[in-house]
Amino acid sequence: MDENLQTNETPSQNNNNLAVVGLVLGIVACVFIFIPLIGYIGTLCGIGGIVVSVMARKQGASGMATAGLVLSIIATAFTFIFFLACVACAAAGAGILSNLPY
Amino acid sequence: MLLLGGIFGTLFSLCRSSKYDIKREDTLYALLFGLSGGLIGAKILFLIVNFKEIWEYRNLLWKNPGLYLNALFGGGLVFYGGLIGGCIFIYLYCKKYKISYLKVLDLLTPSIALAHGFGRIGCFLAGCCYGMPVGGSLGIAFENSPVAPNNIPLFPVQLVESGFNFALCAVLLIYAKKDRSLGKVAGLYLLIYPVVRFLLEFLRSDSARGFISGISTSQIISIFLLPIGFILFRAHKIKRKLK
Repeated sequence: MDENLQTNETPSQNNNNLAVVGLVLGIVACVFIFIPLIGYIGTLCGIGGIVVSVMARKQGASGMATAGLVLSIIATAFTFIFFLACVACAAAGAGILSNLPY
Repeated sequence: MLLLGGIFGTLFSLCRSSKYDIKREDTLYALLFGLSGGLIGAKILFLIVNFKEIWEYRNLLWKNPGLYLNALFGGGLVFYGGLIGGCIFIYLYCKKYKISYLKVLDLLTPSIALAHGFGRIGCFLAGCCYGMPVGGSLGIAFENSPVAPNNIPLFPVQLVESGFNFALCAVLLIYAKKDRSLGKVAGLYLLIYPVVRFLLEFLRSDSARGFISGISTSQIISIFLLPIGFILFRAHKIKRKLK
């Protein structure tokens, strides 16, 4: 009986952990994406948040995982608007470092 | 524009998912995985292409790390890197949740062409990925572009590639109407797109694309993708022969 309980608890606990991680990554992504110079941290968290939240949802978690997924998608979508002048090529990177004011 | 293309592509794939017996939920998740992998792959290839400059200015990392890293991460993306990264992530998703990878690829391929078509319009609007200088009525001169040389008539290669991508999307959709064996739609895309991209690269004149022995990085990747397309296109016959 105890063994059954343990085996039943482990996957849902795992789902919950993944959902929490996804939600935290989504929130962090949404905060960082608006901060100049370190906005790319938001992008990285957004990508991680999408992957983790999808995994959580596939394992049955809903509420928190969905919130994490939505926040991560929003943060990643903002990446396109804020950072990437050219998103289909490398041309915008012409002189990415040589043009910096230093 | 690419964001707009991504939204249209996603809706488009979701509408077509029932044809391939793939749940809408799985289609959406595979697309999100693909987007994540695509961003990572596109950025990695961008960093590889610009490695020389990154190495040259490495001292800036210690002087002003915030500015240096922001310039690297915010610089740009390379489409082929995104394609490869996206395919790897979608493969991981399909493997983990036991979904047919080739089926998902066939479903998503027309959407990639659609999103890419929108992306190239974005390139034109930003002035990047510009073509070679031409005379006559073919050239379009930018006046306030931060990337392209201003007041010089340039061949609108971005619009040509955009139109080609939309046409390719239509061709793939018509081809996919009939029941084809798995991998054929994705294979057809990889057979047509690299050839056209290889040729269009000659019409471009933006120099920051990375060159090896006179041909651009994208042209080298195009050469490698062509046999992969052929294998995908003939996957069913190859499988039969191996059995």
